[in-house]
Amino acid sequence: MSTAATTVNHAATRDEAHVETDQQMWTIKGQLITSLAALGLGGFIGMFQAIERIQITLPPFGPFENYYQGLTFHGVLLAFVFTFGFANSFVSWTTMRGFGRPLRSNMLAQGSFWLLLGGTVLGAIILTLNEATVLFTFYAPMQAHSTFYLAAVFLVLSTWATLANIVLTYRAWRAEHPTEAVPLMGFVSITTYIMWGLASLGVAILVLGMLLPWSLGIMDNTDPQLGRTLFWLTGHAIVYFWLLPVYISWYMMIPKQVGGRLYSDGLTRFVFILFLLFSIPTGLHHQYTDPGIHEGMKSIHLLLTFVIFYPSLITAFTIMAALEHGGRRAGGKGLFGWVMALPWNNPAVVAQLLAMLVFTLGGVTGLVNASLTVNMVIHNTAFVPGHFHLTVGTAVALSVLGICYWFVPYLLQKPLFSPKLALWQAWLWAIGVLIFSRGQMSGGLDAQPRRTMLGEASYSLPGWEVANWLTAIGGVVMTISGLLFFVVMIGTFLNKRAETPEERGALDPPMPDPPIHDHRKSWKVFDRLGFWTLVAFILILIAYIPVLMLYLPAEFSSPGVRVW
Amino acid sequence: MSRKLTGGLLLVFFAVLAIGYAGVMPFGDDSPREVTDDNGVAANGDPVEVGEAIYSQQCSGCHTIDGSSGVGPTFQGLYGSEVTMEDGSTVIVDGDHLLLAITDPRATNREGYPDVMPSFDNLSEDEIAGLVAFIESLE
Amino acid sequence: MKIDRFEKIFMLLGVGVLIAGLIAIAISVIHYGIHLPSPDGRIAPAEVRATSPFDEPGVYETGDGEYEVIMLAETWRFVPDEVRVPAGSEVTFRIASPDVVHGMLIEKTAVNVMIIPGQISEVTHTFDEPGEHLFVCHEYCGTGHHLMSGRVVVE
Repeated sequence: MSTAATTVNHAATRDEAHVETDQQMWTIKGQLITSLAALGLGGFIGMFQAIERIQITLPPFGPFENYYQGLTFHGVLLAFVFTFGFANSFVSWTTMRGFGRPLRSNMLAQGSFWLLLGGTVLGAIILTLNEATVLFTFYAPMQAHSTFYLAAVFLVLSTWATLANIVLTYRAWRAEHPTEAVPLMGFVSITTYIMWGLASLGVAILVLGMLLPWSLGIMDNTDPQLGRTLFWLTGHAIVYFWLLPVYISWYMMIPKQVGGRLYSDGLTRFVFILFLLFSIPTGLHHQYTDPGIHEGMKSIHLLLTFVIFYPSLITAFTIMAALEHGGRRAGGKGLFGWVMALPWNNPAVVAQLLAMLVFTLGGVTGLVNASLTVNMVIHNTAFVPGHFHLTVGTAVALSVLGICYWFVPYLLQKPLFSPKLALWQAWLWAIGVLIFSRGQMSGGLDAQPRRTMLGEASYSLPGWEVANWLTAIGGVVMTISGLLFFVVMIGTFLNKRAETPEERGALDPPMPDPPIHDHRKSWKVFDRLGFWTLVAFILILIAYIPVLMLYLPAEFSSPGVRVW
Repeated sequence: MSRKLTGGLLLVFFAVLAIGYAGVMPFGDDSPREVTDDNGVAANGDPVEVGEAIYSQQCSGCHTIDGSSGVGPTFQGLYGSEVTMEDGSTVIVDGDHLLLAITDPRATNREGYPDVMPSFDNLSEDEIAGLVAFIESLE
Repeated sequence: MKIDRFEKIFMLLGVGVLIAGLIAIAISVIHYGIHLPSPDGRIAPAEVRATSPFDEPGVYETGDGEYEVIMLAETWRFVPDEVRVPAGSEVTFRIASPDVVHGMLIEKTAVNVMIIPGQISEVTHTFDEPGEHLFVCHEYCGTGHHLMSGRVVVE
């Protein structure tokens, strides 16, 4: 990577493109299209939930029988399909580019795509039939149709196929380069997927061991408290599986796109190792108010949750330093002069800069959630969706849109349609989500419950009306922004293919220059991926075995209930 | 996009942030509210209107009034119809049956519907009468 | 490994900020005596309505200024949905669910607890001032979720 990347002319990236074989590139496009389709549909449904708060029920939530069916669609499509599809697509591509070779297996690449598509279609059918209105957390003993759990299995298997392919690609590379440092882009790609591989074990045990057999009638009863614990073993780490593909863009592409360089190779590896180790043993901070889990265990997970905030804190510095480096190279002077010297006319950059700005607020509100004392005030209130629309709903989603502004033109070899519209899209989203989350968070502080059809609720408190209006206005602004994104994407799709070398060169992806302190100054131990995986696994055991020991024997006494 | 416009948008962004979020941070007054003794429904109105108000507050989550499906049976055409219970017996829906269904729904569960309706025995007599009148009015 | 000076300072500051946060939480836990819900026994959902004390939900005076509220959280209501206590009472809620997962949040208090089938939830709060507190179910429990609420009236 380093040899190719130091040369910035377009010929070098042309040469690298040989890693992109047709058998694999169509799966990367397919995953991305599935992901964006889920974003479009899931996001659009979201608007109906926002305006329901001011008692506008347009043709009742589209085709849905009730609010909660739409909410389940919104959550499943955005939290699973949109994010998984994007990660599979983008991280497969950064793996190819990182290791400078095609993915090891065509079959796994294509299998991953078909599993994602199959899971999405199955899930969409069973949700449309109103047989699985259980929200994306599907807490037992609310019992969905078994097809719903099967769809979840397919979606997770799709990510596992990509994980296997990335690991095989790494091993093939290692066999040919036994002594070299792992290329940085390959390193961040593989650590992202290994983390998710470990994290998804919780939900895999939950769905395969408990919920699927139970929904098929093989088991009569289930244990909701045990189920929640397994769900949240995966459920917090999943947010890092949403976030890390975006971090790959922030660490690898953004410095290049602003004309700067990443500072430190070693710290980048350090950050991703920290995510691998500490993303998972923190899940209990979603269960501070669960009755069946011991208080002491919750406190231990509180400590670990603060640890996992740390790599994002380092990221804030590292990325800011790369931005400042770029801004000063472009002639920015003074303490903040470099900010205005950044490429504010490039929608790919602007979307991600705004996503970063919003993410600072998302991070702070995340600490609020993690702090077990304050959590008692906001747990399960509207504060929580207020928080995660700043993080996954913007830091991730808006960054993905930003990445699409160069990735899609590159994949299609067609120039971006109306960058100006794309710029407005980014600004509208950022300002819209600030209004939206302001509404949700203030409502939450005033005891407004989350995932509740508030427009029809039998109760209300003073102060909620303002909160609901802000949420609704922000939601509509975000929807308009989302529509602009799809206009830009469809316009790009309809554009003429780039023909001349100049036109094609302009579409080349922003491949990173080596960091200022490159891999020769990094600790070699970071590259021992097998060792870190083992440490991560042991940390999960340390964090969860005492929880289970205090909990067991399990309480399999809850029959399935349908409440919709 | 010009530098001026970018600067302006950044200003808007930070203004929303500052004005909006500054207002969230200090917790509001934490003294409890005064006790209120009405639940928002006028007690002396026309029974059908009372019933309609109760319906939109408490029943509309599950029971439609236009014949479409929901968690529970639709109210349209319900009054006077013959329905099958969970145990296979049949009942003609009248005022007494509705009174029982509202106050002790688990004793009157219909075939083909989940046994999830809560009892509304906290409603006053006038309110229940209003609700029955409202359901009766839906041909 | 090469780490720049400013980066090193930032990293140390970061550690400091997080430790300060943890200390602040620890102090507030000790000073205000905050407790998270912890295991308080189990009960099979099918037996909730027939098992003491949940077969007779209600508000019980258990001592001088101490009350116990035995509560059912079921689709889609709390039983009882009105709790009347004198000002200054220390009220312990013991709640069980006979069907799906519910939650209870009492406005303007730190009472916030999940109610999970199979488990008994217990929370205690002292209501100092007279007035009314809304409480709501804050976990999705079906199509009538938004109808599930009640109030604590402090007299």
